[in-house]
Amino acid sequence: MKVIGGFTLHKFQATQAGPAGREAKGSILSLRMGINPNSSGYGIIFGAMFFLPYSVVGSLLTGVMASAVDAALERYRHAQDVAERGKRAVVPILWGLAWTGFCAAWSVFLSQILMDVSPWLCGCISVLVAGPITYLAYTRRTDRCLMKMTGVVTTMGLVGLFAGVVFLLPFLANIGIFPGLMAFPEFRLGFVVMYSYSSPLALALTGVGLRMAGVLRNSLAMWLSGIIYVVLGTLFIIPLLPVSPPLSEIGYAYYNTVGLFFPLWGWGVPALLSAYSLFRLGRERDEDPENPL
Amino acid sequence: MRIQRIRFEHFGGIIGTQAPVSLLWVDREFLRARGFHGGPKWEGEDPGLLSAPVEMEIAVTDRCNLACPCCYVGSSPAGRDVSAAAVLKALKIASRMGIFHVAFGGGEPLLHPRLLFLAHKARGMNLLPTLTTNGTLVTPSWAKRARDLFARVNVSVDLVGGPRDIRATFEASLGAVATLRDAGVISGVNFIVTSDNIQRLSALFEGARAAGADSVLLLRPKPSGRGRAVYRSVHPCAWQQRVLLPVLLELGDKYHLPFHLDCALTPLLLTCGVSGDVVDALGACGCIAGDLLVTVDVDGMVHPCSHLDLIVGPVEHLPRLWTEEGAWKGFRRRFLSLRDKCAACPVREKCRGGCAVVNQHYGLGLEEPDPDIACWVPPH
Repeated sequence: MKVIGGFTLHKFQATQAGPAGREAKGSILSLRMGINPNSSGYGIIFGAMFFLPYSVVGSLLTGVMASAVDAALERYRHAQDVAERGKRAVVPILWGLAWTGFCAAWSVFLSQILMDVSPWLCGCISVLVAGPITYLAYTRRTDRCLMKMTGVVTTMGLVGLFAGVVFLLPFLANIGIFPGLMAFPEFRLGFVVMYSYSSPLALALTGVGLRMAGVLRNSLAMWLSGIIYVVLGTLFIIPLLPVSPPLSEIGYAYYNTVGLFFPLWGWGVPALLSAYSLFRLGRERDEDPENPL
Repeated sequence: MRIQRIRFEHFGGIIGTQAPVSLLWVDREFLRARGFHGGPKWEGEDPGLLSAPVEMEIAVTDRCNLACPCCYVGSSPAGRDVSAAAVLKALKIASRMGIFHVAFGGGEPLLHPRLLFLAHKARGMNLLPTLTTNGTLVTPSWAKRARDLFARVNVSVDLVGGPRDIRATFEASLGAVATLRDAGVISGVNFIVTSDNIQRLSALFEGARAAGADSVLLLRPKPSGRGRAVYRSVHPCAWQQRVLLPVLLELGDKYHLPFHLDCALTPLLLTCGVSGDVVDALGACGCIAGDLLVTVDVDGMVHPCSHLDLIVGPVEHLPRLWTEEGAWKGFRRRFLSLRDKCAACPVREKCRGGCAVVNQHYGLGLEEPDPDIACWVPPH
């Protein structure tokens, strides 16, 4: 007999065959049939059953419940295994998609701002960034924290892929695959839209990663740093503020000093931090697999 | 049978099942032999505490279309509904903590415009929702929509002359039970046993059986809300308490209707000579406030029990508060601090000293036994 949280747990020995056909061991310690209608009706009485000897009640409960529970547990375990396998497969796929979309968007951005850089080079850099992160996610695919992170960024990741594909069009137009698209300068407005989307996506991917990996200890810090990141980035990149001195005049827009290099820190920092988070995540898991941070 | 979820605990785990609904406490060997492993929860020292409650009661409104004189929460038509977002927040926390059952209450929860949406969300979070209603707003179409959402709906029924508002008649309430039954909703009746209506239990069982209730839940009057004003006059006296269990057993057999006793009435089983082991084996227990149950009020504050004034903290902090013994101000494992006759009583773990709300009402400390339970257990 054992007392847990003030409740005495009795043992009813379960002797039904286990899942592998072997003799299953273990005990049902206590059983509550039914559900509380209003959380105050705790307990159950079936007429005169209450006056049956304890040993008889115990045997009845064990006999009635144990075999049904065994079969249900077997089904539950099987369903859980399938779901777990599916979730594990989703982890690298989703992280790959999210980062591919994010990097595609940024490669367009880079190629438009740094006109003298080959768009192909930007594309290669994108793949170089997305690839290792995807691979890291693959190696950590069984990590519970990463699976939880994946759950958080699922929608954003897929939308990120969509955004990446959309903004890939002007990129492709630039390199001459779809020359007709160049006739639409409105596409340039898309950069602002792309920025305003891809920065929060970077925030989601990085911030959630940092939070889960324990670098940021609370959600408030995560959101605050994200907001600062996006607001400052926006102020720096959009050529509405006085640009003094204009270090760069690239045909159609001005960028101030920080803005000029924004493609590097606005893109590279999330990538580096995400990679760092994934490394750290692995270490923390080894120390405490239950810790979500 | 279907498994709702397994929550690993230091001693092994709790298995929640559906169809039939049950909670099984099992040891580690039981789970290990069936291919499950509890991970870190099976390591380290025994915390002597469950990792989370098993049930959460959520007040979704404090409005009520009735204004019963002994309402536990003092509801009236002038109350307010809790926003769906706030309820969802509580549900998310419940799901994350591994709570099995959530009970929507009020006020009259059917007045909440998004009740079915909330129940649907609870199901989606792998929680089993239940509901208590006065039945006056139950319609066939509502019952049909509620069928696949609620694991159980209980209708509060009181005989005329009982504590409930006289406008809500016995027949009308039982009509709601019949409507629920016709729609395929598992339903039972709640009945507050008072000194006045205890003699009419037979009519209750007969009516409940005819309406299609699957069980009767008998509740003890509690001095909370407006019920404080009438508590002393309606509480069953000592001899009524003594005859209650034999009468209920006889009625249960006669009408083939199972009955439950609420946590505040469970001590009566023990004082009437039912073996503590049998009570335990069937999962019956006295006060479970703060040990297995938490409640969330309309302001989003957690209490050990809906009748207790003690505020533990905001529901968003529940995962942390659950492990802080000090936040529960002695309500947990209260039986350990019981004194006088209860100190050496062999069934104090099950009885748990009676209802703490009564002690609160009389200004007694938690270490005192409930003064309104007539105990015949011989002193040890």
